[in-house]
Amino acid sequence: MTSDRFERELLAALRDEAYSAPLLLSAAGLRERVFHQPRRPAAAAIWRVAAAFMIVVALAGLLVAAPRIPALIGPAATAGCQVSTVTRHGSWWEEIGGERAFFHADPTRMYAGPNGWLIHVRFDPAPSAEQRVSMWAQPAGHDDRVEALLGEAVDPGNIYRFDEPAPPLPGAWYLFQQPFPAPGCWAISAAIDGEVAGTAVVEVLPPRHETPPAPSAATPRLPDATPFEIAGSWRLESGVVDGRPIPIVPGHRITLLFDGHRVKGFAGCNSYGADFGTDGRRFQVGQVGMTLIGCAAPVMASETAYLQALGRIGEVGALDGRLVLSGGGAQLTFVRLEEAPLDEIVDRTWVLESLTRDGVTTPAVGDRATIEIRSDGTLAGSTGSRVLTGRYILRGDEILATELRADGDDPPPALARQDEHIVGVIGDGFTAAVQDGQLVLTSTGNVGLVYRPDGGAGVDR
Amino acid sequence: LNDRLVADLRARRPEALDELLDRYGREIHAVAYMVLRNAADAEEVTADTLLTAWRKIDQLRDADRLRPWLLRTATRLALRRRTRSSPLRALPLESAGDVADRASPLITRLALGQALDSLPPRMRAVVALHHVAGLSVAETAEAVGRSQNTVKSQLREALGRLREELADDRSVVSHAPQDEPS
Repeated sequence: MTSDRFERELLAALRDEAYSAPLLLSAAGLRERVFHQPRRPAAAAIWRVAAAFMIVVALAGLLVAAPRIPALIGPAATAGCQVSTVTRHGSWWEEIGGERAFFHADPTRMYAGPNGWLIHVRFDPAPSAEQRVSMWAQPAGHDDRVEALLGEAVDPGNIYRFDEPAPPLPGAWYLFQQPFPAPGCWAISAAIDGEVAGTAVVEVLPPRHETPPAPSAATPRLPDATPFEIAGSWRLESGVVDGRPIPIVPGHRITLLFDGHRVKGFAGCNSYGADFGTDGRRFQVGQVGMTLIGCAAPVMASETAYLQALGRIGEVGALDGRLVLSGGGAQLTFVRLEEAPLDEIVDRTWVLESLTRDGVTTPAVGDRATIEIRSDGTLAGSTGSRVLTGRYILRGDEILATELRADGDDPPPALARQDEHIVGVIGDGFTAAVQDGQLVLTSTGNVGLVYRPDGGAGVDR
Repeated sequence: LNDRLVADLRARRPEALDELLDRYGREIHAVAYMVLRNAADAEEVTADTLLTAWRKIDQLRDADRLRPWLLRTATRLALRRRTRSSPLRALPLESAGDVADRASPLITRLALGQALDSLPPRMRAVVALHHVAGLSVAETAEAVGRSQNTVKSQLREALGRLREELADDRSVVSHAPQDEPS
């Protein structure tokens, strides 16, 4: 391609790229922002003065009432959410609610979150086979209902705590998955054919970091994924297309990164990228662009199956801290990737100890080979025969060299393999971990490099 | 046209906002997206830019300068904005395919995106204002608050770096493997 033509193509591609992201802002949305913005400074100043005046008045009132404060606020402040009383049956089964529906739940140990809590509900007397059971939750003081999912009949003989079965109580047992979108005081209710059979009050705590209980395999549909749950970087944990599992080849992991309106990642052998659309439940990937590098047959089979599955996806959901894409006879389950532990790595000189390939370790040879990953986004080091310089960016847990130069004379034959190995690992992108004080870089195909801190134990070459 | 639009903005006519968005929204968004490399942030900057225009239109002396004034505001807001990590917005489903279909045949969006990501935001702003929005070097320099010589050298460096990265790139446009016919 001539230089002029390339430049024309480049400028055209830049314009395409700049206009590639759709603008969703509507005129109505813009007007909403303009006419519902915070007050202008002059008005805000007036409000600030008014607020300050009210605070002064309130403080004065409090001072006057101070002797009576315990009597005024004591009981209510300590009571908080008036949760239902727990009734225990046997050694571990606890219930709240009644009179005809009882919830197996600890009213003070529930947490907010999109996936909801699995709650057994015992209806006594049992509803008939034709009757429909339901459950919902309402925040205290509001009429809005959050309906529970599932509602499946369960056999109490299958409910155990460790090796202790649930006690033999009368009635019929059902399992519900009840979401609590926000912390606070909630009333939970269960009904038969729409008629309330039991109610209880529970205190829902702010979301915790542990994974909320997972729905059973019989869940009719996964909870919708929120942007917060989708955003970030993911690694394929398992996948199925037309009933056949997608093979994942060790050292050739498959990743999915959400970046604005794009998904991108590594399909096992090649990098790929595509636009996507989602409304939190429906999910669609546009045309996929990818590099065309060849790999061994098992890796290509893995990549082909994954990209086939990705093209069929129609829905997204979150399950047990995982991202699940499904549709068209395919399902892809991803686990989240944590970012590279840069704090431990950057702005230090690391000296090469050994090279690894498929679990086989080879000691470094030649002059001291080093790597320095700098916090300003640059790389520097050597292969033992040539000088390395470059730049990098972070992609999920991967450090990706966007520029890499190896300057110097061609390495002598004894060092050529090491030189190629190092340039390959760093140039292809790698994950980094500090293990036992050593920096371990791992790249696609189970190849890696092991470095020690400069000045640490080891033999300087 | 701009005279009437600016007059309507000064008169605080709400329909002027619609016209402002219709006429300049996409271009502002394109420049902001090049700087921020993130569609959701770019949209926020677009809204903030139009909001600023609504509030501060009285500061614009010459109606003919409306477009560069908007682009300069957008660039400054984008450069000031702290990029959030991968925020996600729901997109209309039908947009996904349409967007991808515009991929250049010789330079893949994947490769170009990576190359652009490696440029500093201010350098991307210079490229966007000059090569995408078509502002002159002088207007670009004013928008980013740098001298014309600095802008010229940043343009040269940016294109050189992009050319260097893309020339060696092995990427070609392809399609995901399709299901084999049964």
